[in-house]
Amino acid sequence: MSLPELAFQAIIYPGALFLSIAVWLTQWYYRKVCARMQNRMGPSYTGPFGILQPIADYVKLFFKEDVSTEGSSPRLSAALLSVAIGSVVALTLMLPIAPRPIAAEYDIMLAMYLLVWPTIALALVGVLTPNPFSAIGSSRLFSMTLAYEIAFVASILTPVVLSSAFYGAGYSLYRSCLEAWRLWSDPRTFVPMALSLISALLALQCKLLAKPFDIPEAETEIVAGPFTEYSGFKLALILALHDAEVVVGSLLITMLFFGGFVPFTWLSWYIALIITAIEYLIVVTVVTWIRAITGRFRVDQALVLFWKYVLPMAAIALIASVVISWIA
Amino acid sequence: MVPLLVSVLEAAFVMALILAILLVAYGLAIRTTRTLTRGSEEKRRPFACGEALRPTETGLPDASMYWAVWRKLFRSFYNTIRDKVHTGILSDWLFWMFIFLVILAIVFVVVMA
Repeated sequence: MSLPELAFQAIIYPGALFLSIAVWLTQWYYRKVCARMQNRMGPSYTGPFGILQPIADYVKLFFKEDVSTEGSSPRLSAALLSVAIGSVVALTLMLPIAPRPIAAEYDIMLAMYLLVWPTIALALVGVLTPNPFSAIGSSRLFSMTLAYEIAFVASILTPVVLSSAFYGAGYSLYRSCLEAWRLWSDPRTFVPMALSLISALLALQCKLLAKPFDIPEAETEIVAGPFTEYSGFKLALILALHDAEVVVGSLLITMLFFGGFVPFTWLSWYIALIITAIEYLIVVTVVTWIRAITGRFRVDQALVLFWKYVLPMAAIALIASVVISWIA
Repeated sequence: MVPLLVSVLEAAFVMALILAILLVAYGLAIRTTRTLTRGSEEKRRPFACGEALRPTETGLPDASMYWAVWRKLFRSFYNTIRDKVHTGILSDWLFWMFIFLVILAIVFVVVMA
C-alpha cells in the first residue's frame, strides 16, 4: 500500500473522519437508549431528537480553557492521548471495512498491542496530574487492567486460532474476520465461540468503563478518577478516545464473531451494509443495556468476577480451541 | 499478504499521522482559548473538594494504591495459609519446607529435561 493511500485511509475512510461520524452517531444512540431505559429524556434540544448534542459537547470543550494543574505534564498527556487515538484508528484499518486493510500473517499480535494502548493512556493521564482522586482512579484502572485485558485478549484469540486452523486465516485479524463467522455452524467450535463471545462482551464492558465497571471514574467517590484535573481540549481528547473505543470495540466484536457484511456478500451491497449496521447496533445496545440496568461494583467485586468467572471462561475457550485445532 | 514488519510500519505511520494532526489541533485550541479566557493561579491548584492542597501533598503511598486491591482480594487466601503454615510447631515448618523443596526439584527436573 502506498503512503498517500494509507494516509487517505487514516484520515478519511475508515480512519479519523469516518470514526468521528461513527462516534457522533453511536454516542447519541447509546445516550438516548440508556436514558429511555432509565425513564429519562436523554439528548433532546440540540437538533432533531437531540442528535447534534455530541457535536455541541465537543465544540464546547474545544473553546473551553485548558487549565493545567500546577506540577502536571499537559503536553505529555495530550501526546499520550493522541497516540492512543492513533492506535484506535490503526486498529480500524485492520478490519475488513477498510478498502485496503493493514493485514499480515500473525498480525493479531499487532492488534493486541494496539488494543492495550487506550487503557495505558487513560491510566497514565491520571498519574500525570498531582491529585489524590486521579491517583486512586489510576490505581483502580491499573488493578482492573490485569483482569479484563487478559480476558479480552483471550476472547479475541479464540476465533482467530480456530479460523486459522480450519480456514487458513494465518493468525491475521483481517482474514479471521472474513472466516470466523463460519465457526458457528460447526458443532466442534460452537461452544468455544459462544464462551469467548460472552467473555468478550463482559471484558468490553469493563474496557469501556461502563457500569457496573465504571469503578476508576466513580463520580460519587473520587470525582472523575484519572480525569479529575482535565478540562478543555484534553478532556475532549479523553472523551474522543473513550467513544472511539466504544465504536472500534463493538465493530471488532461484530466483524470477528458475526462477520459483519461478509456472510451477506451475495445480497446487494446496501442490504449487506444495513445488516452490518444492525449487528453493530445490537452489540452497542447490549453494552448500553448492561450499563443502564446495573449499579457499580466495588473494585474487589469486579476483580473477583473477572478472576473467578470471566477469565476462566475465556481461558477454557482458548484452551479448547487450541486442542480442537491440534486434533483437527 | 505482506510481511508482518510492513504491517507494523503501516500502523506506526497511521499512529504518527494522527498524533501530528491532534497535536496541531491542540496547539490551535490552546491559542484560541488563551485569547478568550483569563488564567489565574487559583485554577491551577489541585482540586481537593475545597481543601487547600499543595501538589507535593497529593501523593498517596504505594501500599494504599496498587497493592491494596490485591491484598484485599487475596486476604482469605493469606489468612488460610497463615493459619495452616504458621502454627509455631517445628515439625510443621519442616513438613512445608520439605514440600516446597520437592516442588522445586520437580520444576528443576522438568526445566532441565
